[in-house]
Amino acid sequence: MPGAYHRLIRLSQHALLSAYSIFSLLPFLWMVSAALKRPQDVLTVPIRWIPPVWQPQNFLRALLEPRFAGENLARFMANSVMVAVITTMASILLSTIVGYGFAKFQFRLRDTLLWVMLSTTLLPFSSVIIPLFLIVRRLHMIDSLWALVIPFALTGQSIFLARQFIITVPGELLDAGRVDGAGEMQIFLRLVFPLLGPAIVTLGITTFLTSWNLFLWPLVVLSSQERFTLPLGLSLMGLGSTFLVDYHLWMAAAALAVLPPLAVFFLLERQYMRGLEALSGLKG
Amino acid sequence: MRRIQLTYQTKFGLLFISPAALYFAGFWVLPVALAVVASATDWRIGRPAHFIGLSNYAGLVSDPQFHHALLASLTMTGIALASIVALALVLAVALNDSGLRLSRFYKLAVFAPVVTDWVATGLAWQLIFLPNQGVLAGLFEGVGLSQWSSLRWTSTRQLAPLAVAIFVVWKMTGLYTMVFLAGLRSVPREFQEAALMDGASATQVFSRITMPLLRPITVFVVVSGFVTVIGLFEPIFMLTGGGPADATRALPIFMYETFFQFQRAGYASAAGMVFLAICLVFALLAARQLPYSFYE
Repeated sequence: MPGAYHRLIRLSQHALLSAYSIFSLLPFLWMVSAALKRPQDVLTVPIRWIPPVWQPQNFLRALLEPRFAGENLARFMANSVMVAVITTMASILLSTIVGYGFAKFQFRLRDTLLWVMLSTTLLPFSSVIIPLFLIVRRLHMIDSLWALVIPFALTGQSIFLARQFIITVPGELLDAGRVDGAGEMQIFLRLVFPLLGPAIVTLGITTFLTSWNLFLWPLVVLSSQERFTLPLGLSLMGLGSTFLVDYHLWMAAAALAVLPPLAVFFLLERQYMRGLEALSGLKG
Repeated sequence: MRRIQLTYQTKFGLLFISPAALYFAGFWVLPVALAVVASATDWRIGRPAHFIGLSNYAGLVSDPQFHHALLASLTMTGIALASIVALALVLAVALNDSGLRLSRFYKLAVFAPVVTDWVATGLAWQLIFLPNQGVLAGLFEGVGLSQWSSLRWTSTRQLAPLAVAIFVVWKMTGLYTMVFLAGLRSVPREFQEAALMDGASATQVFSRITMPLLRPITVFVVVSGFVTVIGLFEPIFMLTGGGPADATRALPIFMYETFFQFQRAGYASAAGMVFLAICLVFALLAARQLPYSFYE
């Protein structure tokens, strides 16, 4: 390729990507900058990107000040952590068990069943939310954090992801286990599960992020503020809410909510992207 | 011997997948069946239900509110999805270059909104769209477009769907960029190199070789994007709450309000079934085109 032409292409690549990166990151930068400001410096024209007076204590205030019927953001965050961690652990166990069944056993209708489970990922959750609410109510799980864990501990997505990874485990290993007289569950727990380290990381991040970011479902099933998760607690702020317009504290709270997912993603980016590739059916 | 082997495989295979069967029955089959039954009744929460056949569906057909919801859903999904697919494709092509400096930074930047939640980022976007004092207003002032700084993004009929679409595009483009990027990586480089050797231009290589090979993944992105975007409740809830008037009262908001505010369980279920049918049609279209291969 001629040098000048090549340089022009590179230049336009950088122009496009840096323009989009600015669009993508600007709301976060503004969020953090507003979170560090005094209230009167938040909405100014022209925008002050660097706070004239720094107020890092906004984060502590946002976290600890009781706002909503005596509860504070720290409480909501603790609820979110609890729900996301339990869902993730349950999902890792359940989806690898099911994924193992789909990957390593032959039975009739297996692929049809897998396809049916997978196709549920192509149906929006909001379309079944009403009957799901009725079922959960019948199970007496309304206003309980279990209602946020149980329906999400096994999804078409996590099953397919687990299956894609387990299918690469060599069959000889399982046969060797059988020859040694190990039971099928033992083979899974002792031989297969320990091999799944990287896959489990991928599966875990995906489930953790989904659970952490849930909003509509908690909005429907939770009513006591002491059980609210972070997104639900945050939604009590916002325009049109009856709370004081503490924009700097809103943004501090919002920044605290986006920090854990961003940290998880930046630290484990490679594993997360691998999961995405496996899900779009390109790699497995 | 072979027969025994088969029943053994079936027995343990079914045992291992039994949690999935339970989940599928409890959280998809049962809810849909319940909704189908409820949609044929005049059930309101707290009152006895009567069977009324297809009256709810007939009601939906002549309900101007439902028409508005369909229209709002299709408008916002259309604007958002078209922008997402176009942007994601362009960004993925630009990123698919192993020699590109800063490419890791770009990837992290483009993807960052995807992993965060709608509510926290929605709070920021509320303040971005705030007329006169908001971030967008500040940016317009900064470039000398002060007449635009008073635009009421989330409270005028024409702009509100656009504002929601912009928020959705910001939040989701990264996801589909990475899906396209994975697709581009799976296109063997030799094809493109051979064509370049033979004197094809970069645009020719893209339109004649890369694009056709990307077709299955494009179908996947369009279909899964459609179903995801049309099912979104959060961005509308955060920015406009369905207003002004009915301009952004899309299907998920319509169903939510019909059920939780007006307690009309039967009618809301019927709307849910229509919604599910729309998505099912798209999912079935996808099934034919999906690049999944189960026999690896």
